[in-house]
Amino acid sequence: MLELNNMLVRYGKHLAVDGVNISVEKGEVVVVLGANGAGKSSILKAIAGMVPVADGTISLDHTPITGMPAHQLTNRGIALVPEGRGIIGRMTVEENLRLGATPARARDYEDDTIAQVYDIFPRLHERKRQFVHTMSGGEQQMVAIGRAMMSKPDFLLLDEPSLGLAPIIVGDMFKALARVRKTGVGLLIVEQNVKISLRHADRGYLLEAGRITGSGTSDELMNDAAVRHAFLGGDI
Amino acid sequence: MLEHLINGLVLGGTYALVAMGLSLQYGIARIMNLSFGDTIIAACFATYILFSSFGINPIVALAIILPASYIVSLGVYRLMMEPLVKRAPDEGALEVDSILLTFGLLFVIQGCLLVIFGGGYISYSFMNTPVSVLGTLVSGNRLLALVLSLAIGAALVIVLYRTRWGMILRAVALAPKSAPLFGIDTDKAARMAFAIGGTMAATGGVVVSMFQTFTATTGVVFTMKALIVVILGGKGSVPGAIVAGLLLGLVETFVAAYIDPGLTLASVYTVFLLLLLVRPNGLFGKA
Repeated sequence: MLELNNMLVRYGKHLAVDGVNISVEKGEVVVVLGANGAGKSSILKAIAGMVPVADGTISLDHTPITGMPAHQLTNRGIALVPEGRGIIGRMTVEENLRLGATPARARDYEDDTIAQVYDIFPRLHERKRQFVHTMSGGEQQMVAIGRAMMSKPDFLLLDEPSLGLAPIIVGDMFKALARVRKTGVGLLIVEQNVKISLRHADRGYLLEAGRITGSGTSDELMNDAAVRHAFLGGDI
Repeated sequence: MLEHLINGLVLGGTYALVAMGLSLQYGIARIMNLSFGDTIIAACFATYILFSSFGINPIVALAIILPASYIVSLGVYRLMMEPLVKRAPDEGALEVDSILLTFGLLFVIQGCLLVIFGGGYISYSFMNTPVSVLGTLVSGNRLLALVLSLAIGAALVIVLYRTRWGMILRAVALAPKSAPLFGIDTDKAARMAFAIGGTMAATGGVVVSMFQTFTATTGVVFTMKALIVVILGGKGSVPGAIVAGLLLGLVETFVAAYIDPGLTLASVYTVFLLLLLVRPNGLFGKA
């Protein structure tokens, strides 16, 4: 289980995340909903070791991992697909994927995992020799998710995976993520796209100005008056 | 004509070799190493001593100097660069700090060499017998220098493009911010890149000393030329460094042969300026 306990993230004087408690089980899809600037990205970056945690703890199966450097966290089973995707445009699809298997925990499974990634994203197999920067946004997002899978994560963190993608591509991507989840990976997704992310998630949290203001199962949130008002424009 | 072509390639090959080293240090470790040329000269002197005092042939000397320079470069990085890396708030600050530090280091290395060897011109005679290549006579040491540059340069390219380890180094050069997400220890990559860069400099020194005279103070010329090659080739581009290095060597040799030997440096800067006017990011640089 991935657990955040009263976690604080601070940039100078600005408090981006103000003591949040979030937990994700393996094989579960959890979504954090919030507007721009609510602190969603900061939560994921802090878990992945990309920004320092000012206070509170992060634990993985009850072992504290707070303050570990990012490259070590990937070896503990945390994989982040950041905003902007974090892949290397001037390398090929295959290079990006193989490079994703750099953590020691993933090395022995490299060939099996890459076959699994190509099975979920056949498009990537067709284009494995293509340079990533020449690909469409949806394809690049596949590379990013594939690269994260290559590290054999227990928990996959996704920062607004639907951003900038056409609705039909977003649907395909969430279907692919459902297959990733079936392999036993826990998914923590932050999104502004409330409807589609709730449809694919088990549970969710509402984040406002760095604080958790609500939580529940997807059905509960879908029917919650506050969610409908804040995110869904009243009616669904 | 053919003689100049071969001589140009020999010179260009060594430029390409050392520029690859500087490119690694700058592109991956983000350290602008102004003492780079003095590392080359130190290796020249080491080869000279091993050859003239201990009778060790420069090819065997390479087997000693290569690992030694890796260890020394690693030590320099640990001792002097790492504190800068740790305290630098961003890449720009690290660049400025490293320029200041290596500018000082340049004089330390140069001073040591001057104290030990004095300021005179040094050369030694190794494989100085002419060899016939396609009807033209070329000295054996130059041919050997060309072969060594090509072999070592090719080895580096293969490592960078065909091994995981090389892929990791390239990833840090291309996307330093994202690299940790791939599970890459960027500090370790920087350390290794700096050490390999230093090793390439030392290799260049061994090769150059076989056919050129050198003094304790010529290091800065090598630093300048390596810098020009790196910028001409495109920052961080290994193929760019190879092409630009060969180009520079050829231009220098042909200008010296057909126009005036005094104009070699001027010709280098002319090519540099003209190419940068047309391609501000270098031959293989990304816009």
